[in-house]
Parts: sequence; C-alpha cells; structure tokens
Amino acid sequence: MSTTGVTSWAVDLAEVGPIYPFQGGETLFWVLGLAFWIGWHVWSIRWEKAYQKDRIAKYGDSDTLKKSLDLH
Amino acid sequence: MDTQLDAITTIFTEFYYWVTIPLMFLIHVGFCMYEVGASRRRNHMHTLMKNSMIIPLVTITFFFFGWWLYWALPNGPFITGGILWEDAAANAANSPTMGTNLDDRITGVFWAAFLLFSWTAASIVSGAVIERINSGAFWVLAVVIGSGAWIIDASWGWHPNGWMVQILGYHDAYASGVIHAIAGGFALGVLCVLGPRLGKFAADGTPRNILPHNPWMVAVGLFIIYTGFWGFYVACNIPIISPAEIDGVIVGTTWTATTIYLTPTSLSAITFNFLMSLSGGMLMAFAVSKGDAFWTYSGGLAGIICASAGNDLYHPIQAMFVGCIGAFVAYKMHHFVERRFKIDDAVGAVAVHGYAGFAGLVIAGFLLWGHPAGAYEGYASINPLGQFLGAIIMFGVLGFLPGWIVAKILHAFGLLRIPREIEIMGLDFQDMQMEREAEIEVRAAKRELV
Repeated sequence: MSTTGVTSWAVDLAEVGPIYPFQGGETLFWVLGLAFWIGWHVWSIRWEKAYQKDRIAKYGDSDTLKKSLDLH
Repeated sequence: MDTQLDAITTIFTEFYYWVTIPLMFLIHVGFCMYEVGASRRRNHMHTLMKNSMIIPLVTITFFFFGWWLYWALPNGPFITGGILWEDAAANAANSPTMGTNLDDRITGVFWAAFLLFSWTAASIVSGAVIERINSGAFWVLAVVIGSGAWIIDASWGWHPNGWMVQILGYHDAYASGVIHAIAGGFALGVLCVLGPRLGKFAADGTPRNILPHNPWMVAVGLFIIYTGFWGFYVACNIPIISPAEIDGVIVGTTWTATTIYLTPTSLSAITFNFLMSLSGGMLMAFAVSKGDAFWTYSGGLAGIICASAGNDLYHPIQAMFVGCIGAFVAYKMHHFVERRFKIDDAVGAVAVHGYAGFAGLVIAGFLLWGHPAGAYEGYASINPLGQFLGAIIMFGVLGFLPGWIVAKILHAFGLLRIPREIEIMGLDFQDMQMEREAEIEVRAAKRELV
C-alpha cells in the first residue's frame, strides 16, 4: 500500500509513469485550485477596499492631505 | 530514454531549457527594480508588491489553463481547423504528464520556460500603470494578459503550425509581437481607461515630468532586464533537432538548432544579433534623447525588441540598424502620444515594447520577404502584408482590445483606480508615517543621552 502507487523500486523504469500521491484525483485538485485562485482575487479586492477606507478615515481630511504632500 | 543518444538528447534539452528559467527570472527582478525606482518614494512598497504578486497569480493560472490554451488553439478561431483537444489533453492541468512522471521528463521545464514569458508580458503592463491602479484590479489584468491573451497569440503566431504562420507567413522568432507588441497594446488599452496620474498634465495639457525617486535603481533594473533577456532568447530556440523529427520539408540528416517554428537558425546568429541590436538601440537612443540615461537604457531594450522578429536570420549590421529604428520609434512615439492623447505611460512601456515591437514586425516583413515562414509544405512565406496584419492582431486585437475591455469592466465596478485621497497621500503613507514617528522617538531618546 502506497499513496504514490510505488511500493518498491525493484521495477523496470520503462514501465513507471506518474509517481505523485493520490493519482486519479487530478480533476479534483484542479477544481480546488481554481476555487482557491478565484477566492484569492475576491479576498484581495475586498481587503484592499477596506484598507483604503481605513486610511482615508485616518488621514483623508484636507489638512492632513495637504501636509502629506510635503512629508514624504 | 532507452538508448544513450536518446538519454543525452533528452537530458541536454531538459537542462538547456532549465538554465533559461533562472536567467529569465532576472527579467522579473529587473522589472521590479525599474518600476520601484521609477515610482515616487510614497508609493514604492505598494508598487513592488503589485508587480511581485504577478509571480504566484500568473504561475497558478498558467498551470490551470494557460498552458492548455497554447496547445489547443493553433488553428485560431476555426481558421485552419478546430480546437486541438487531443494535442492539448496532455497539457491540461489534470493530465498525469503535468506532475512527477517518469514517463515524461520535459513538460515541466518547457512549461516553465513559457511561464516566464507570461510573467514578462504582465510585468510590462505593470510599469505603465504605477501609482494609481488598484493592486486587486491589476492582478486581474495580469492574469488576463499573462495566462490568456499572450498565450493565445503564441498559439496563433508562435507555434510551428499556428494559423498565422500557415496563412499569413507570420514570423516573429524572438517575440517582437508575441510578447512585446501585445503587452504594449494591452497597457495602452488599460491606460486609456485608467487615466493619468494626478498632476501629470497642466491645465493646458502640457505634460509635466514626474521623476523617478531613484534613477540609479532604474538603470540597474534595466541592466538586469538585459541580462535576463539572454535567457529569453535562448528559450525561444529548440537547441538541437533532426530533420526526421521535424518531419517537414528539410532533407538529409544534419541536426540543427531551430526557432519555435522549427526553421533552422543557430546560437551564433542570435548572439551576434542580440548584441548588435542592443547596441544600435542604445546608440540611437543616446543621440535622440541627448544623453538621457533612462531613454538610453530603454532604447537598448527597444532595439532588441524591434529586431527580435527577425534576429534568427538578420545579418548583425542589419540587426544594428533595425535596433536604431526601434529606439527612434519608441522615443518619438512616446512623446507624441503623451502630448497628443494625454496618455501617462509612467515608464514608457507602451513605446519600448508596443511601438518598437510593432515596427519590428513590419520591418521583418520587408527584410525577410520570401523566406519560408515554416518547415512544412504549403505554408506561406514571410511577406510585408502578413507581418503588418500580424502586428495589428498582436498589438490591437489581442493586446489593446482585451486590456481596454477588462479595464472598462473593472472601472464600471469602481475597482480600477485608487481613491483620490490615497493617490494624494501616497499608497505607502501610513507605513512612512509610522517609520517617521518611530525615528522621531529614537532621536528623542538619543538626545537624552547627549
């Protein structure tokens, strides 16, 4: 029993193909990967909006903005 | 790999492409340095992260679907046939060859060589839009160009059997159009929707200079891009292949290096021409910009980019003059478009990659007129009209249009541009304030010790 399908190297390598674990689950891995990728975009856009809102609340008044131009 | 020759050829090819990958990684390092150096101090960390996150996002999406697109779509929109499901199946994300597999030792290396081109395409766009685009919006655009638009264009025009090669006689050996014109066009499409940075243009429309916070960093960044470009050129070749394996019209048994189109060239040719076109570009840019460092380095890039379409075949002196033209076109067009259309391209990316790449394709149509575009019977020869149409497809159809459309959608949802207050204070304002306050506190503590 092995997650990779290889239990011994006493084999002819010409007959060995994939050796990653859980072969047969590739489509599931792909779907999970796609979900993770799209979820990351949604999270990053929301996070950035919240981050900017917070910065504007803290520093967005006219005086601070005017001062900011000379600060950095 | 059951014979020694087979094993040596396989391992040499694997290693050949593998070496190009860390070399091409330098292109991204260079782009990050260049872009951060060109931004103002108040924006530099956000600018760095905006570009750096191209790496993971384009990598995973290129694995999920980008690589499959290359193998599935050489026939274009049903021009020379349909979708190549069978050819593409082995390159789909759920194929057993896209993993640790003793029966397939090259796919991952070949995939990565293409992937690094994908990063470059997205990174070119990144520099143009600095200091006012939302990072989240940019990352969506980066996936569209890096794992979508560019790889579709590669499938059409940078594949031995791409429909543009077969019908138009399209030739673009080192990607004047396939990477550079498309990325420049895409950046222009985004810039048209995004608008200029605050203060870039006076009320009467005169452009103001927004200077880089660190010109030295910009220069070193461009030098590093030159270095990485070597890997890019080498990765565009097939290092060694026999006529039998090409299975086209070449006869005899002489093995050769070829372009991606399986047409013969040599490492010697591209070494000559890379350096001569770089030199032509730098010399012209220095002259036309009156010694401006930023434009001299950028002109070197524009020179290589302009000559790249035909650098597999040009004589080195031809490559030098084509490089001169690329730098001249980039410099003049950048300033003309900036003044005339109020386009704020912060690093000249549209000019150096887009206009120089476009010009390079057209020039190759004349200089290589009649040379076979492919290694197979019945394919068109290289010709000016085919190259011009190819340049329009690369810059306009697969570059400008997707960039403009996706930017419009992001803009409609209020996601494209950062709020005005953030742009005024700078993206890194809070971090810089905290740094400043911490420094004041430390200085006060030191004063008590004096």
